Amino acid sequence: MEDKKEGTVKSEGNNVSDPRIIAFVCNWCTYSGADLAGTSRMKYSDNVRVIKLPCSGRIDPLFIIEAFKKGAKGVLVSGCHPGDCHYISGNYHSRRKYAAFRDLLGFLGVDLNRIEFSWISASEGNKWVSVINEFTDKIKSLNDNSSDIFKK
Amino acid sequence: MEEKYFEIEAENLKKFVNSLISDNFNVIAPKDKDGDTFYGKIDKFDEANLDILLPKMSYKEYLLPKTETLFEYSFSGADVDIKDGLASVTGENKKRVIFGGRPCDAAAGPIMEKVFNWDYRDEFFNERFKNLTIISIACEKPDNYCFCTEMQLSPESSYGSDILLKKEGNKYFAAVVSEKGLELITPYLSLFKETTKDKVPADKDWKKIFEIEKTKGFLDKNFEHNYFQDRFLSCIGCGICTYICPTCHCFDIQDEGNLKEGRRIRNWDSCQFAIFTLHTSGHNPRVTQGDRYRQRLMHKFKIYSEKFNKYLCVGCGRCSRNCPEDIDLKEIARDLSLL
Amino acid sequence: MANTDEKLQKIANDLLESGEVSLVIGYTKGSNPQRMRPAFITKTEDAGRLSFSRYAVQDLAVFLKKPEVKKFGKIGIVVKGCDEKALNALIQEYQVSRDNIKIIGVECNGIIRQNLADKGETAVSEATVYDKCLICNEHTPILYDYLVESGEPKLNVSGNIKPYAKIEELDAMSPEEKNSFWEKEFDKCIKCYACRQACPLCYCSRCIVEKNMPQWIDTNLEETGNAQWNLIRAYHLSGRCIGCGECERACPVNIPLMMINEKMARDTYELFGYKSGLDINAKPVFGVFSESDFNEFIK
Repeated sequence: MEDKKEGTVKSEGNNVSDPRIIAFVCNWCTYSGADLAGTSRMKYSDNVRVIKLPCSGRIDPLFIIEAFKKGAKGVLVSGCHPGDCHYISGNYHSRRKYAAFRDLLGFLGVDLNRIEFSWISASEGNKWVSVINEFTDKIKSLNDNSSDIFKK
Repeated sequence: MEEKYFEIEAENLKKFVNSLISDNFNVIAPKDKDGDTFYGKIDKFDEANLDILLPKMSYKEYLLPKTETLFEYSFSGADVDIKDGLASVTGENKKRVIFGGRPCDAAAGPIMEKVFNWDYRDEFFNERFKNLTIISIACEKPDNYCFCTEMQLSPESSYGSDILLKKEGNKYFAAVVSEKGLELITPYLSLFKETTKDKVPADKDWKKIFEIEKTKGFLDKNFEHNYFQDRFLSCIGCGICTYICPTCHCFDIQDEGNLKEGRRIRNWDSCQFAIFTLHTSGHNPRVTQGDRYRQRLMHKFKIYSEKFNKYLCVGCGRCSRNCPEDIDLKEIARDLSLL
Repeated sequence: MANTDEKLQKIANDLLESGEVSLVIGYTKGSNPQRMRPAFITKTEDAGRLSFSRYAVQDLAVFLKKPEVKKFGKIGIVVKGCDEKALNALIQEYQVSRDNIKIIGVECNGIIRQNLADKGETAVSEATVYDKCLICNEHTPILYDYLVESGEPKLNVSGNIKPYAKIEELDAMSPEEKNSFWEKEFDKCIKCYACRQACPLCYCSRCIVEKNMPQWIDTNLEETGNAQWNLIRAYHLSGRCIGCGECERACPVNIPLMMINEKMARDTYELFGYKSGLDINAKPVFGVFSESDFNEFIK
């Protein structure tokens, strides 16, 4: 493998040793948590691409479908801990939605290891790092030859 | 071409079809699947179900696939690579044989061919049509939804078929009506026994229950008739009638892709959808389902026949059999002919 | 039977005569003796066409989403127990006002599968009715303004036939096996959207597949587009589907859509204790939340 400079986009994201992972995060907690990890100079897997939304309640399941459609190997959805939502109840709604959506994906034969959910607060830079690293390792360990409804 | 007549034993017909398959023909026949029968590729004669009247869907998809890639593009740097979708159609060197369909299905091909060769010659359709040989079996017992006789065909019509088989006890009479059909059986002539037309049982006298010209006559004069709005209140606009129809051929051209690569495709579409005629301005000339079903009737029984001298309907009755709300096209055409 | 028909006709006649409704949607005889079809009655003299039988398969609540039908204002509608649940869900979701409909409930003891009826089946039995009838708890509609008793014999459910048995079978499979099962099913899809049109609860004036800025769902009728469509359709019905089975019946290529719908209905019940369409005053399951909701899947 060629040497790559730190901080540059180097992943095409379509092979198993270097998978593309999309993280949909809320503005108030998880994004701040990731920011904290960054400003604290903590290192985490650079396979992840972060997409910030106002609230985990705004993360439509269509976004997840779209990410998989475009070739993401894993998708993370993350927001504020229950009770901490900036908009009071967005994360509760999202939790209900995703409990069902996850079941549906599983029933239709999508490997549920490819999709992860977490609550990460603004002060949990450490948790962000460990969630991302563990998730990346898990994705790397998956059998890339298996197919599901998003792959041809 | 002058028609030729042959006799073939049921056992030999089986051999004939099996030899076609082993000689690398792509044989499509009615095949049981999920408690229903659909056209599908068969790997041996016995997979074909020749006892049913009609498969649930027509074999339109072998002429006009559900999704056809017209071209593909990909960028590498400043270069664009464009691949013509037609290449993959001509690349299908295996010739297709539709075996065991009915005369109504066979008639759909030449009827649809007219619109695909009108102001623009559609190479995709033509290429597929050219490579398709159709062996139909005459119907012995049409059901109550059938109305091919009213649509200027009959359960024993050879229009559109290359070979029409008629069952008689344990053997079949084969009328070879096209060069394509003759070419197909020539290598296997030892299985056939040539005969003459007078040996073939004559067509029965199939009765009509209405005159389609009268239906057209009504449609000519009554665009704004209340019948359409009232009758089609019960239409839910599902479009099944158009998707399973052997002659409905509307499609929608779409682009799929991104800045790196993509393709232009054409997908099946249906005039029964509200969005079908929706303008960018938000105006929709066909507001109600009544308007949309009227369009289907007009296209089938008036517009197409005025333009191409053929009705865009073969009377297979699939739309009536499969309509979830039991809208019966035969009944409607009859009602209109009496109005 | 004849008695049921007469009662239906009388109710429709009275409703139209008094002007309480301007349209009655019911069933009438269909294109063959084993079929029923929807009837739209606006004049008292047509009320005599109304009928009901073991072949009355359609869910008439689907018509309430049609703009042409909405124009009639006050509507009387003939519903079986399962269809009535669709009405409840529509009322819950503010699509229909309870004040604008007169519910003519009919007792139903099972509907014969249409494909069997077309082949000549006439007897209502465990083996001939829809799976939804075997798990039905609402043979008598939950909510009605008028109730018409059925002359049909009670449906005996011995339990020998397991409704939706395939769900457990699939649940036990690995993701790969499930995937190959659905791959085959979705491959058949022709995207006619009959499942959507036949569904009383798919009432969006513009469906997600009809939006192309952005194009969320691929337009092709191949693996990718078909899978995305079926996934999103099922998701939009999760926790809402009342199990009338119209999508599956309408599907011209026999995709077992009710398997997905029923699975999601079961899961919603398990996770949130909610069944759709039972109570017009209940809040839709995804419109509310509980602090103690299932949290195990979240890190």
